[in-house]
Amino acid sequence: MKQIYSSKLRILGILIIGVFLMLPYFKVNAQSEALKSALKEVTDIKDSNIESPESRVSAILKIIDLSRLEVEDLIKKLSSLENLDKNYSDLRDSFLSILSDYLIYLDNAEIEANNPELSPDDLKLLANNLKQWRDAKYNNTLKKTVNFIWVLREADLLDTAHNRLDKISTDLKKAKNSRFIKIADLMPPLEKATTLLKEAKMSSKLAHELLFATTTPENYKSSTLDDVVEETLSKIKSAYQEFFKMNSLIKEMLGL
Amino acid sequence: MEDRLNKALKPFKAIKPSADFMRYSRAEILATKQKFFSARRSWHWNFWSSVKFASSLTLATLLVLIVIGGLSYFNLNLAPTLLTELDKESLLREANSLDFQIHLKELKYYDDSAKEVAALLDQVTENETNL
Repeated sequence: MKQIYSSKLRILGILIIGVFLMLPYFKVNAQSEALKSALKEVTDIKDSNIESPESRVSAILKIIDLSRLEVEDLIKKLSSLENLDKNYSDLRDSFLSILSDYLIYLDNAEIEANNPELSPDDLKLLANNLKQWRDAKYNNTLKKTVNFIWVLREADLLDTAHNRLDKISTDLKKAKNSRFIKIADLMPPLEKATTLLKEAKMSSKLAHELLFATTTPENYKSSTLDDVVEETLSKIKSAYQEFFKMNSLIKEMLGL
Repeated sequence: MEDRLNKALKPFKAIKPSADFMRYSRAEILATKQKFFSARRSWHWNFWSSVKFASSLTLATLLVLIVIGGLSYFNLNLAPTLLTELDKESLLREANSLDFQIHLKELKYYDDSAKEVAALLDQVTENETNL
């Protein structure tokens, strides 16, 4: 009972911190400049000489900094998701809980790396533990978190695309009596766009099902979800390409 | 009744204007400017009247054609304004805001990050081994 209560308090605390740290996320942005900069520092160290104990400790601290930034970035993005149904908010809270554990792990690793009495063997053990932890848990969880966010984002993208399609169809009905717009020529790309968005909706539905394929976020196959998310986005993009095609056809008809 | 009327009016038959009145009236009439149509002037007047009439008719016809043509022109040019949802600029703005590549970029970022960190950690542990 105590554990459940403290776990819920922890999640609430993380959400509050996340909201406090969060900038308005009107769209899911690619990695922030701080993240790219931290990755570049890791790459630069990798390419340089790290034979001295100080440089090795510095390398581990850079890795810890990068990992912390990555986790905090995803906490912000998860915290920005609003108006979720219960299933989705529970899954979001589950990811937040795991990510908060990762922050604690990283804090402890940092304390250990900064210990002035750290021996070469301890340093090697710390590096090995860090590598195994990242390979076994960290990397996979982060990708799954990204896919979770995108499954939810795709719903917004589909709504935007469908709204555009509906408005285009309405416009074409109004222009049907125009002598210079051959509506028949515009129907094939319109029908193709309609089909693509239907297919996108189906793959989005599959993505949502895959999210809940298991009870915890550790277990579902992230590679399959990667592909399904990517397929949905690809179909929405192709639908917009058909809209652009229709724009070009109209320009040709009007001699513009 | 008629006989009585004729009998009453008979004396008035003899009435004539005075010589002075006749001279005055004649002078007034002769002093007034005379309007007369010669055969040549009549032809000019008829010609330009016809031209004016024809021009008015042509102008009216042209105006009617312009009005009808203008409505057709609006029909032609109204079509694009009806198709605002296919406007390229707005499509581009919307497609860019959706940015379909972000998902791939994010996954690629985490893949790259994992590889770089793993390689660096390998270097750290290798260097320790080599000491």
